[in-house]
Amino acid sequence: MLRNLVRKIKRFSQSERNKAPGETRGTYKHTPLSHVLEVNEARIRQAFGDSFDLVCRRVAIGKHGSIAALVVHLNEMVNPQFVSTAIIERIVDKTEHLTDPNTVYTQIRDSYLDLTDVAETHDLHKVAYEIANGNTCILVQGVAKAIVCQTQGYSQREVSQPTTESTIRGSKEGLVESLAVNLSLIRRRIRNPNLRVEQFTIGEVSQTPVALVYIEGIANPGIVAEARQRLSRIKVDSIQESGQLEEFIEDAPLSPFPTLLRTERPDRVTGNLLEGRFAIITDGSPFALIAPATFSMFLTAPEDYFERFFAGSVIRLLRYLAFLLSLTLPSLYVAITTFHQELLPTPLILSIAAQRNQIPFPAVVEAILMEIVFELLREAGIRLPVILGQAVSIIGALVIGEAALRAGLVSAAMVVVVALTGISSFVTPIFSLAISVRLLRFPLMILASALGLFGILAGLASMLTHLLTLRSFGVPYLEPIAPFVAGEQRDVVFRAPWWAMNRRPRFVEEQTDKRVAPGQIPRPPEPEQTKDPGR
Amino acid sequence: MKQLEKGRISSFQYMCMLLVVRITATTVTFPFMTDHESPTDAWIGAAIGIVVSLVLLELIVRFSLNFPNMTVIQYSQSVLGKFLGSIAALLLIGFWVFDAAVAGRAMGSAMVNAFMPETPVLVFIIVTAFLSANGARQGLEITARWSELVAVGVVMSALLLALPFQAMNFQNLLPILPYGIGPHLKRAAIIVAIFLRYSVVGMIVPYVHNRKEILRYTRIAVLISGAVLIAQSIVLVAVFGARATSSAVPTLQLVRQITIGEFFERIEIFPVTLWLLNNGVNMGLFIWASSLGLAQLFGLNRFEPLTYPIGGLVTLLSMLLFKNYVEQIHYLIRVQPIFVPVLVLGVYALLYAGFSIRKLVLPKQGNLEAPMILEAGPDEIE
Repeated sequence: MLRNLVRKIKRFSQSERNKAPGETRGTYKHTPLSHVLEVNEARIRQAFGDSFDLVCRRVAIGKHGSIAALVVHLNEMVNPQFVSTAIIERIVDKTEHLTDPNTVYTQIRDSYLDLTDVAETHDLHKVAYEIANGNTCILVQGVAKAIVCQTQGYSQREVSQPTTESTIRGSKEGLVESLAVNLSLIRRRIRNPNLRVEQFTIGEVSQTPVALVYIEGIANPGIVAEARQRLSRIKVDSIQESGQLEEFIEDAPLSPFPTLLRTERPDRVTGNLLEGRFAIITDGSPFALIAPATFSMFLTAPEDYFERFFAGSVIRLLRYLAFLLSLTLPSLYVAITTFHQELLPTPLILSIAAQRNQIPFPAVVEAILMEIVFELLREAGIRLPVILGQAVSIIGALVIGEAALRAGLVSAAMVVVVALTGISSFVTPIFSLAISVRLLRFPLMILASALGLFGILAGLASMLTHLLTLRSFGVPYLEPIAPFVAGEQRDVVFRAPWWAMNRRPRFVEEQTDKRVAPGQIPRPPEPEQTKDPGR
Repeated sequence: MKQLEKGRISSFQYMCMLLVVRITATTVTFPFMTDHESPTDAWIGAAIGIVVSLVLLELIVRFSLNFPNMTVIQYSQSVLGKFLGSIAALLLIGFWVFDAAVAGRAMGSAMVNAFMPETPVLVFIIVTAFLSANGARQGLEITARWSELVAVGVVMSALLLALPFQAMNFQNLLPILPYGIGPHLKRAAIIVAIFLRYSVVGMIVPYVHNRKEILRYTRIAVLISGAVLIAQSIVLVAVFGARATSSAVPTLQLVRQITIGEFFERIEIFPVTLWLLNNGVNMGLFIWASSLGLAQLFGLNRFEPLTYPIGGLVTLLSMLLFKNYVEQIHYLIRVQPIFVPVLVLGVYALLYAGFSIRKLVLPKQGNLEAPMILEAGPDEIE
């Protein structure tokens, strides 16, 4: 049924796509600029609906100010100091000896401006969009062209620590909302001309710049082409966050599991680029999307690679355990206390039974109740103003931990289970996976209450079947585990030492290019004929 | 020819599927041990059965490799003609459905006997059949990946057999051949019947990526599962002695006795979990094979819609086949060793006869791929 639904949705979107390209809402026809400055000014003002923040500055340039020019920009999108010193001051001072408007225009365009990025256009609506984008346009009386100067200067957040993925060791920089800053963070880590950035403008109203980043020669060209194609077919009014973009390009729109990895960390982005993946960075969002994403990537933290490999491997193993716990612990509690008491050692089950004796609910109601309360507390903790945060923790600790226990509403074992589940779910390094686990926990609890461990097994089995069918940009979601790729086991549950990680994942075609030159295991130098053997 | 199944699997996945198919049948309910004389040297019967199965499977797989791009359902018609071929195909499909039902029932009654005596057996079978049909619906690749995950785990868990070494007494094995070779031949027949579930390779072979390795991996799969079988029969007898025959689920009983540090007691939960998954994958594979076979036989465009109905059929059959556990054991020990070899070997013998006659009488017959196959045959095999 779901499949039919998806097919219908696909067909619907297909039929939309096949409409004649062009005239949808928000796009303008190509309109040439006029030779007459006043006409151009009127049209630009009209395009902006005479908006309050549109600045149309008339400047008299040329010999004795004989030529009229127009400098147009949006007041708050540009750096005003920059506009006045690098544009207005310049064009007034430098053109004092010129009389011909065309010469003035070309001289300004080619040599007078104190700017790095200057372009030219004949199209009025291009002018309007450039202005909306924070650029400044210069028009000269008698010339039907406009110079577009890059003068974007709006306030943006400083690069700071990533708030959702913190590490002890490793870079402390996080991505920010500005595309340019983010690209600089990535370029600074891979200083190589083969790092390619392709720009897309997505959102017919919002005109949001989106960048597709990959490394030529490492990324699989087929996968990059697929990404390019998926990005370019998006038709939507606006993209405000990369999460919106994700829903348009993911492989399995109805799956609870994310098939694109999102991250706030530039070092995670570059690490994945170097493994042959691509990244999509959206202006206005500090979260980059990375694909093809495999399941093991979601349980990987950057630190695994920076700490020594023993620690990295053991911590990663712990994380897999935590993932399983956060998924199954409440349902295991339900199954064991309801059906399989014999599985626990006798003293333990006696103590649990003694506690449960006082509780009015069956185990599954108790578990679901407590899990919902915990989810409420967690959600409240995110939404509350920071100042009130303490109130929540007091309520959580006192009301749930103490009062509910004393009132005999829940058993102490249940509180322990919920706490352990909560802590385990915070271990998952990527939050989008933690969310799907939060959702999947509840059906598992219900199955456990009906069929015990067999129910949990059935739930997990159908989940695994689903995971096995998933693909991310053509790469199976569980790639190195099933289908089993022996050579890639060095970076799944265990992390091999760096000098042994000599290959990139299988989906990267350019396997000739090895990552690490062989034979780099550090060894102490051969002992020479030591003079004092006792040392 | 319509391409109904688009998946491609590796030869390693192929081997894992074979392991799954065999291990499901015997790991927990160890049928060839029960109700027989001379249990102490049961491994001799197992060894004979494995050797015979190795030969038979070699023949079946070699024969399938004569048609590298066709499933057994497809070439049965090109070899035997429309009428006889359809009958042969239907017999095989029927056998797969039947066998999935037997596996489902075995799983269900083991669950009821060992874990949840108050739950009706139907519940377990319905859930497993539904999940298996769902997996089968996703195609061969998914079943293959499942097999990979499960088979590795199952072979690993065979190492658990080594844990109760303190309780083993190899004197128990001693009277070798006290009753002559007779009981062992019966045992060998049971083993052969179980290995003949591999008739399903006729459906898998055309989808294996590297065909040259198929024969090798078939042999490896038979030998690995044979080794597990022999080890199992030796360990069980060494621990329990002649009592090994008295339990319905001897392996489970063995694992139950294992305790680690006197705290981790019921570790049988792990092998049982694996075994349940194994069983589901096995049923999924058979449901996949019979749905695909039916679709190919009747020229349907898709096989996916057939998986749920066949899953339902499997559920019904597994409930109707046996009234109780005694009948089930009776089937496994007395009926299966005759019924299955007659059916499977009969069908394959018929196919081979048709194939040879065609080769002799009609060497230039333009029917389907026959001439091309004859040329390509020997090269494809080795």
